[in-house]
Amino acid sequence: MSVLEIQHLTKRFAGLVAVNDLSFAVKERSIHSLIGPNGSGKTTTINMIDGVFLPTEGKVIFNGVDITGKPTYEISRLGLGRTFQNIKLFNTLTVKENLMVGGQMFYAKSNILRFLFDIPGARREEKALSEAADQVLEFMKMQDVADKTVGGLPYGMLKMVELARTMMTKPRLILLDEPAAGLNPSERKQLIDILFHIFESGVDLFLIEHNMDVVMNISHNITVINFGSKIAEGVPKEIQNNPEVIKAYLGDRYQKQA
Amino acid sequence: MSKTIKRYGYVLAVAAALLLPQVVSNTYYVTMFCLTLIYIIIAFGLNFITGMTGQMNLGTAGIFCLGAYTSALLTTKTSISPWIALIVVIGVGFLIGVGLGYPSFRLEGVYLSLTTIAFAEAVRQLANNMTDFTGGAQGVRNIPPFTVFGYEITSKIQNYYFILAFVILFGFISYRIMHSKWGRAFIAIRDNIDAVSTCGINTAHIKIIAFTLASVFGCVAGGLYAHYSSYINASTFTLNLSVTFVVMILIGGMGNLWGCILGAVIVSMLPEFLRFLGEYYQLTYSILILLCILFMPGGILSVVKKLKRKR
Repeated sequence: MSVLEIQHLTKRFAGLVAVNDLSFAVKERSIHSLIGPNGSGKTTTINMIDGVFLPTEGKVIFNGVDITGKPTYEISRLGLGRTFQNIKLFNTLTVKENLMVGGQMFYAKSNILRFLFDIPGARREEKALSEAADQVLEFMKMQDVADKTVGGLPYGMLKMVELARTMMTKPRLILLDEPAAGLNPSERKQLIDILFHIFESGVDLFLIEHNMDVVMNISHNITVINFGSKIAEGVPKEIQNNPEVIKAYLGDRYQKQA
Repeated sequence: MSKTIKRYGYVLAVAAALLLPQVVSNTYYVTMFCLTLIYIIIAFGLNFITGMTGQMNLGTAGIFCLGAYTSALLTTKTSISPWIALIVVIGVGFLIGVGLGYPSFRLEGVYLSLTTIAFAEAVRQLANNMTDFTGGAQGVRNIPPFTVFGYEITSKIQNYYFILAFVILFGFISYRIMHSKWGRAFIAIRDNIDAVSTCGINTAHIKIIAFTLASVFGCVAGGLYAHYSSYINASTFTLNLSVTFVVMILIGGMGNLWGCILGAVIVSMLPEFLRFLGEYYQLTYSILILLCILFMPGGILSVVKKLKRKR
C-alpha cells in the first residue's frame, strides 16, 4: 500500500515545463526522498501535492483519496502536513502559540458563535489545545523555548518549531522541503534524530533534500528527478551507483562510499 | 502574575470611567466623552481586522454610517423599539462583514484599502442622495432614544453610562476573542498567511470573521450614535472619519485593547486641548499625529512596554 501516489504529474508555467509526467509512490511506513539538481522541479512537485499549485495534468492520491486541486487547508485536514524551504512561522507569536495555531482545527473545533456564548466550553477547548501543544513540545524536547517569541530564535530552532507545528495537525505524512538546509552538523544530527523519532511515532516522511548525508542515512526509497522528469528510483545504494544520477547530480563522491 | 495585573488595570479603567462624569460634569465635556466611548467600540472592532489580521480597512465610516442609518430609519419610519433595531443593525453588520470580507481573498494591501474606501463612499453618497428614503442632506431627525426598564435614556449623563455598558460588553468580547484561537489565527494571517493554510485553517473563513467582527462592532456603534445624538446626517461619515479610526489604533498601539482605548481617547480629546491654538490647531494636530507615527510606529503602548523592559 502506498500513502501517497503521484500519477503522471505535469506542471507547465507558460512555455516552461517545470515537472514532466512524473509518477512515483510513497510506500506506507517509509521515508521517501526526492532529490535532484537545483531547478529540477522538486519544490514545484511539493507545491502541487500540497494544493499550492494546480497541476497542469496528472493526479495526486493521498491515503486513497484524490486530492488533486483541493485547497491546502483541506489537504492538511486530511493528514498531509508540510514544512517550507524558507521557514514560514508566525513571528510575533510564541513557540507554544505557533503550535496552538497549528492544532486549532484539530483540537478546538467550535465555531465563533458557539465560542462567544459557551464560555466554559471555550475554556475546556482552549485547555485541550494547550495540553496537546505541551505534549508535542515534550515529544520534540522543546519545552524550554515554549514561551519564547519565535522572531528571536536561532535558525535551527525555527526549523524545529515548524516541524512541531506540523505535528500538531495530526499528520499521516509530512512533506519536508529541505529540512537540513542551513543547519550546522550538530543541528543536522539532531534533525535526523527527531525525524526518526517522528517516523517511529507512526508518521511517514517525504523529503526534498540536498544534503546527501541526511538523504542516504534516513531514506528507504529515493526518487531522482532532473529537468522535471524522473531519472531514477530505488533504495539509497542503487541510487548511489546509478551512472545517470551520478552524471546529473551526485558526482562520483558518493559512489566511493557505497 | 502579569495577567492579574492586567485584569486589575481593566477594573481600574472601568472604575475611572464610572467616576469621570461625576468629576467632570460639564455637559459639553460629557457629550465629548460619549462620542469617545462610541469611538472606542469602533476601535475595538477595527483592531480585529487592521490591528491583528493586518488588512487595511478604510471603510469604517461606511460601516458606522450604515449602522446609524439602519437604526435611525427603522425607529423613525416605523415604531420599532431601538432594541429591536439593534438586532437588525447587528444583522446588517454581519452582511457588510461578509460582503467586505469577500474581496479580501483576492485583493491585498493598497487594492483592498481602495475597495473599502469605495464602499464607504458609496454608502455616504447613497445616504446623501436617496432623499425620499434617507432625508438626503437634511439627515434624519427626531430619532427616539433607547429605553431601559421604561426609562428613556435622554440626558447626556444617562447616555454616557448607557454607552459605557456597551463599551464594557464589547471590551469583554474583544478580550476573549483576542486571547483565544481566533486571536491567534488573526495574528497568524498577518504574520504568514501561507503557513496558516498548512495548519488546516481556511484563511478566507478567518478573514471573513475578522471583517464581520469589525463591521458588527462598527454598526452597533453607529446605532448607539444615532440614538444618542437623535439627529444624523450623511456629512458626518466621510473618508476623513475612516482615516481617523485607523489613526486611533495606529497611535494607540495595534492589536491591543489598551491601545484602542488610548488611541480613541487621545484622538477625540486632543482637538479640545489644542483649541487654544485657534486656527493653528489643525496644523498642530496633524504634526503631532505625524510625529507619533514616525517615532512610535508601534503606538504609544510600545513606548510604555519599552519603559517597562528597561526597569
